[in-house]
Formats: sequence, structure tokens, C-alpha cells
Amino acid sequence: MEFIKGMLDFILGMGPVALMPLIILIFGLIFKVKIQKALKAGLTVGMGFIGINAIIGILVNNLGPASQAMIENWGIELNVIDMGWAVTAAVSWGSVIVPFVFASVLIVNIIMVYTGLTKTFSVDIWNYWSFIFGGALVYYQTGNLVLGVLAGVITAVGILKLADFAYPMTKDHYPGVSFPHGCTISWAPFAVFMNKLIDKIPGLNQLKADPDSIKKRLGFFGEPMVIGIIVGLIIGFSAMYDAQNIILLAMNMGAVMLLMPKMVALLMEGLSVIASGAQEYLRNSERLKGKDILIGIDGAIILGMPGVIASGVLMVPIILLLAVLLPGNRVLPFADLSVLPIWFGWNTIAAKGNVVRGVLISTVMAIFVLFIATDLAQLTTTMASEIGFAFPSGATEITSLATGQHLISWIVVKIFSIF
Amino acid sequence: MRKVKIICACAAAIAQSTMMQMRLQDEFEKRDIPVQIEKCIFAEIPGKVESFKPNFVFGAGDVPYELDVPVYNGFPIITGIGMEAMFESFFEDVQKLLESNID
Repeated sequence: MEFIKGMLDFILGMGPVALMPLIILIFGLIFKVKIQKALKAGLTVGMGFIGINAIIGILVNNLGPASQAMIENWGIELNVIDMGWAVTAAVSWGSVIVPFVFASVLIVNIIMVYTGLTKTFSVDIWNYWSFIFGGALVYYQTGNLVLGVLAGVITAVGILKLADFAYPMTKDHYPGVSFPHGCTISWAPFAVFMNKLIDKIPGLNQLKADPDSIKKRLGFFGEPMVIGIIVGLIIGFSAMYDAQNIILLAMNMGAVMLLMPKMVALLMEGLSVIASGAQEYLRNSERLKGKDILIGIDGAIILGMPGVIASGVLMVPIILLLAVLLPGNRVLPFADLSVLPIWFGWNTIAAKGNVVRGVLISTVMAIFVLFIATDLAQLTTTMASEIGFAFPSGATEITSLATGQHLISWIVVKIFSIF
Repeated sequence: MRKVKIICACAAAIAQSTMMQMRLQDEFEKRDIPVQIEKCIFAEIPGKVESFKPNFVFGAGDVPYELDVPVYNGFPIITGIGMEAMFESFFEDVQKLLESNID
């Protein structure tokens, strides 16, 4: 017993860099992947975490002092850095509760499909991070593993049901697939509700805009690197840096936007081994055969729906402005600015491609997103540093706009914090 | 034998594009055909097609550009549904390309 505990402490003490390769290796073997391949997948994931840590360093070391300077110069208190969904996902995949939530959600999803409680079977193993994130928040808040796993499962059940709910809106474009995507789907009912509300407001219900012309004009500004550079310039100016430092900040911010996806993709390379296994299971499962199933995949696919990209790119300046003006907001939007079209996609879909409505609904939604992202910042920061991510200590906290997208997880955290 | 060049594109060049890349790499390995795969986001496709000169483009969903290169919708790889059938027709195209041998 002592020996096992000693082993566990030894592995856990090294954080996700050593823990996740082991977990991937074990899951790989369960799904009958060849041992060499499973081992390589696991090691790749470990290297991914090292890469992500390095980029987080660039992000926080540059943006941290700049946001402090903004506070000193203008009193704009945006000292919580938006490190983006990708890092939030990485933090989630690095937490101890990964295997427990992963297995529970997979089993619960199968049972729900089998009993007809949902039509959606999620083959999107990568985005299981949303469920793990929901669980990890509660786990690191309460220290209770059972509560953590329960929170993960509740998040998953809610998201699967929401994927069923939203299916009619995308059915004609993407028949047979739904989007149980934690980053986007939580707000779909809100989008539907707001669109109905706008229908009833005279004047507002007449507004329209042509998505294609906007999309063409804004394409360049939708590139992550360009967004990073522009936001870096704005922040550099606001921090009243000299010209040299403004340019350096902008280049570093562009680099973060360019490099971070490459590091996080390493995690995905490892996880794809497990993802393939789950797909095999789905295809070969006798029990699920003949069931009327929606294949659950990543919500980023909705980018192909009309108007989604245009209204999302228009949201970049709007959410930056909101962040400054909104009382109580402490989030400095950054890394997730490049994926706003996906984050706010359902608003435009609910509005049937009407960009004006999409932007209107998204603006209201962004207020809540910023609020939740601020509210969960402290817990996320604690979680990330306990998991073993290297955040320079000090005033800076971290969060992501993606965190604000996790409405269900936030509600679950709030409910569990009562106990 | 020369390498087949492929671009895999999705929204953030993280999840779906990696998934497609890994699966394609496996399939090429099985058939013993050398392949080089690059990933990018949708917005980068036109530039990447010019610089990398791929033989095929795979998109997670519809690719919103008119390209001179054959474009495949990677949906079957992402969902796992209809994947074998897609690979079958895809590798027929690959064979044709290798036999034509025009560089």
C-alpha cells in the first residue's frame, strides 16, 4: 500500500508532463492500440504540455506587465489574461480527474443513447475537455473527487441534450451530425430566445446585412497572427510603452497566436489515438446499431453556416470595447479573439444568417461571457497552478473567453459551492 | 516514389485537422505511399496552396474557396461514418496521380 501511494505521489508530483503520457498509454492499450504507437502518442502529449508551458510564459511575461501598466496609466483594471480555449483545454487534460470523468462520460453517453435519453453520441473525444473542465473546477474547489466526476457528468448530460435541441437549426446543412461542443452549445437556447425577442421589436426586426461582402473585407483580420499583432499594438499604446517596446509586445502577441495552436495540436496527436478507438467502438457496437443516432462532433464546423464568420469577426472590436467599459469585468480578451466566429456562431444561426441580429445577440451574450470568465478566473488560476502549469506568481490571473462559454459548468460550480 | 502532399484545414488548426492528419498518415503508411501533410486554418488555405503546392486539400467541413486542387470534405474521418468508402475513392485518385507522375 505504502509503495503504491509512493508511486502515485511520485507521478502526480511531476504534473501532466509525466501523468498524461501514462494515462494515454493505458487508454491506448485498452483500445487495443499497438504498444509502440500508444507509447509514442503518450510521450507526444507530454512534450505538448512542455511546449504549451513555454508559450504561456511568453504570453504572461509580456501581457502581465502591460496590463499592470494599463491599470497604473488609465485605471483600466483588466488584470485577468484571456489565455484562450486551447490552454484551458490543456489545463483540463492535465488534471488528475481525466480518466474518471472520461470513462464516466463515455459510459453515460452510451447508456443515454441506448435508452433514448439523447440522440447524440459524441465521437469528439478532444472536446471531452469541456466535461473534464466542469469536473475539474468542482474538484479543485471542493477537493472531492466524487463531486468532481459528478459535475463532469452533469455538464456532459446538459451538453448532449443541448446538442439534440440545436439539431433542427443545422439539420439542412449538416444532416446526421450534432454539436455537443461545450464551448458553444451552452448558449444556443439563449440565441433562440433572443432571436424571438428581436422579432417582436419594431424597427430592430427589419435590419439586415449581407454576410459575403463583410466576410471578404474582414478575412485578413480574422487571421490569428494579425489579431495578435493588432491587439498587441493597442495594448502597447495603452500601456504607454515606447515605440520599441510596443513593436516587441505586438510581435510577441502575434507569436503566441501563431505558436500556441501548434503546441496544443501535439496534445491532439496523442489524443487522436483514443478518439479513433471510440469511433471504432461506435461503428462496431451491436447495441447501437439501428438506433437513430446523431454523431456528435466539434462545433467549429458551424463556421460553414451563412453569416457566422462575418458576425464573429465584427465581435472582435465589440468585445474589446465591452471589456473596457463593463463595470466588474477584469478579463483582457486576447487568445480567444481568433475564434469568436465559433464562440458566437449559434447566435447568427438562430437568426438564420442575419449578421445584424447575430452581432446584436452576441453583444448581449458577450456581457455574460465576460462576467463568467471573470468570476471563474481565480478558481481557474488555482487549478492551473496546482496541476503544474508554470504561471509567474503575482497579480496576474488567467481565464479564457471559452470559460465564459461554459454556462452549464458555471451553474454547476455555483450550485456545488453551496455545500 | 515522390511524396503526395496534402493540406488538412480546420477552424483553429488544432483538433480536426490533426485528427485528419493522423488518420491519413496511417492510411498512407498501410499502403506504403510516402506522404507529407501540413495543417492550417481555413483562412490560410489559399496562401498555403500557393506555397506548399499540395496535391489534395482536406477540410473539416466545406472549404469556402475555389481551388485548382482537388478538395475533400473530411467529415467521414471526423465522424468515422463512411470513412472506408471515402478512403477507397480517395486512394484511387492518389493512384492516378502517382501513375500520371507529372510534377
